[in-house]
Amino acid sequence: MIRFFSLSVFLAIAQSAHAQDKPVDALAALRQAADKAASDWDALAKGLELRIARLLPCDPTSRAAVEEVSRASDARLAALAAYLKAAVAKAKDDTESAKRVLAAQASLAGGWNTERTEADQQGASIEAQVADLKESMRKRASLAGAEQGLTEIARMVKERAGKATDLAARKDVVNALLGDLVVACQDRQTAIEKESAQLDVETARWSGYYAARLARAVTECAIVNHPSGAPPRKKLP
Amino acid sequence: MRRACLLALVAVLCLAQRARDDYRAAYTAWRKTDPNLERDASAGGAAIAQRADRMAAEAAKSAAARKAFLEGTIADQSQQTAWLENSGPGPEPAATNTKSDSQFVATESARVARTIETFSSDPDKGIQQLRQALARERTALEALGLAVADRQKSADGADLATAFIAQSRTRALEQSRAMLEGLKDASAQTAREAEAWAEYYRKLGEGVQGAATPITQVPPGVPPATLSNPAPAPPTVTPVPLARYIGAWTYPQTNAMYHGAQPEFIDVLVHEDNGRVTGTVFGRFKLPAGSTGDPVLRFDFAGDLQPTRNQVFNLLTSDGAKGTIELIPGPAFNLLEVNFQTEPKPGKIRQADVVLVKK
Repeated sequence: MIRFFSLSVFLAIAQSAHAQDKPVDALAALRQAADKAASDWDALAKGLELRIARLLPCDPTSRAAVEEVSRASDARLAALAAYLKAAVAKAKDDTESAKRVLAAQASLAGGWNTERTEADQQGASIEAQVADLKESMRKRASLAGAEQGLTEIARMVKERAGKATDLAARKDVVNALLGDLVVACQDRQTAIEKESAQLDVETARWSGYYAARLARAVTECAIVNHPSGAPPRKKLP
Repeated sequence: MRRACLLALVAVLCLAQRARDDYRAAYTAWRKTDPNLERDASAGGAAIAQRADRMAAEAAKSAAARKAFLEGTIADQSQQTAWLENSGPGPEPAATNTKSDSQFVATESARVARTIETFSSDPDKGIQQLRQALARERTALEALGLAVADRQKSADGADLATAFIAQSRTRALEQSRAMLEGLKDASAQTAREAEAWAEYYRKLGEGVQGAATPITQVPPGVPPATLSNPAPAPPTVTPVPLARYIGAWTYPQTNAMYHGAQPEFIDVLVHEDNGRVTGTVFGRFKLPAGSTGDPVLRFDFAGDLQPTRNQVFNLLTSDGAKGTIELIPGPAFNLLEVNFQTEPKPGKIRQADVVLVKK
């Protein structure tokens, strides 16, 4: 029964570990996509003014060039948003995992106190055995070998208690470090969530900027067609 | 998902507790099987040897249960260590870097500002419209610059937290590995203890065979004491002469006999006055490697002589611990067995049984 239960728990954990690998791969793919989209936009954005400078203000290619960069910007922001959304999910998983490890490690580390107590109790019990055996040795010297063996066992148990004491002392250290790890994971998750929310705001700002840039192109064309700024005359029939 | 993980964790912890309970039950069963074996061993005989065999079997069961518990705990600890080694958050990728955005905003802002400046004093209505369009573009770039800066702050926060995670994880991993090594060591030690218990019960079984003989036999190489100038012994209540107790006694450096803590040296002085004995014991004992205990022991004892061969007196150590000392005349005139026990004091020698020779 215990073995079946143990096997079930092991399989559940193994399945969870396997499932965790997939988001990491997906995250890497999203990051690559975001990097490529950002690189595409960067190249178009840097070359925009040079391209437009060679065109007449009302050349339709000029307006199309601005719109192309604007679309590239939208694409790279969408790719970055998808990546950040996945990064937030991964950061949440990391935080939850760190919390689980903290809880499990605290329990395991606490076991060393139990180990020490048990070793001390066993040591006391063996000392009583040694005392009894010594009494018996008064009548039976042939028990000397057994007495030496029991004394050696007492030494081993004492040594075990000492090691358990050393490791029990590490309990607070490891708990504090894992507590720090949980806090740092939580901070990281919060920072990425904030970054994701700020990207939404930034996306709106980019749209506003490209709208303004396009409006300038329209204005430049209008000035060329109507230099005085007067409204265009109606075509004569 | 979170609830499922929590349930899995609780299940693992319950399993660990159950395994510990299993080996505790096996240990308790072993210890309760024959608690008087050592006390009864002096009687000797095949029955005692059989009892030792039974205890050996119970000890083996207990060791196996403990080993199983430790192996399960090692598996749990290995999972924690593996997560810290492999599955923790990695460094923040470059996709969240806003350097290109910031550069773009800075370049375009400068370009727009220069153009606005160029047209600043142009009265042409069309140019004024263009300047207004440029001003709106500049406003959009300013708002964009602030948004990019805000996102960079959050990205910096994520980077900082990631660096802190790496530090904490490295240090926690070090502790986790130490715990894992400790568990593996405990498991190996359990195997060694199991072997030692098996050997102990085997020796006990052997030791109870044959006729009984006391421990205070003349050790090989110790010459029997002879009095070169014999004098009449003083009257005493003891069944053996007072000289068998009083005087200066020391621990021989060769052919020494002891049980319990091994002495490096022991000096015992025993005086007698009108049937009352006073004495001092000063000794130093060998401690196990790594022990931080006090190897030195000093105590005084006193009491009235009794009409028995073995004399028992109360003692008081220099640390204030009480106890008893038993002086047992050896088979030879120049040998004295000294057996003492004190109250337990942390790090102090509390019992020994040694055979001393007269100085």
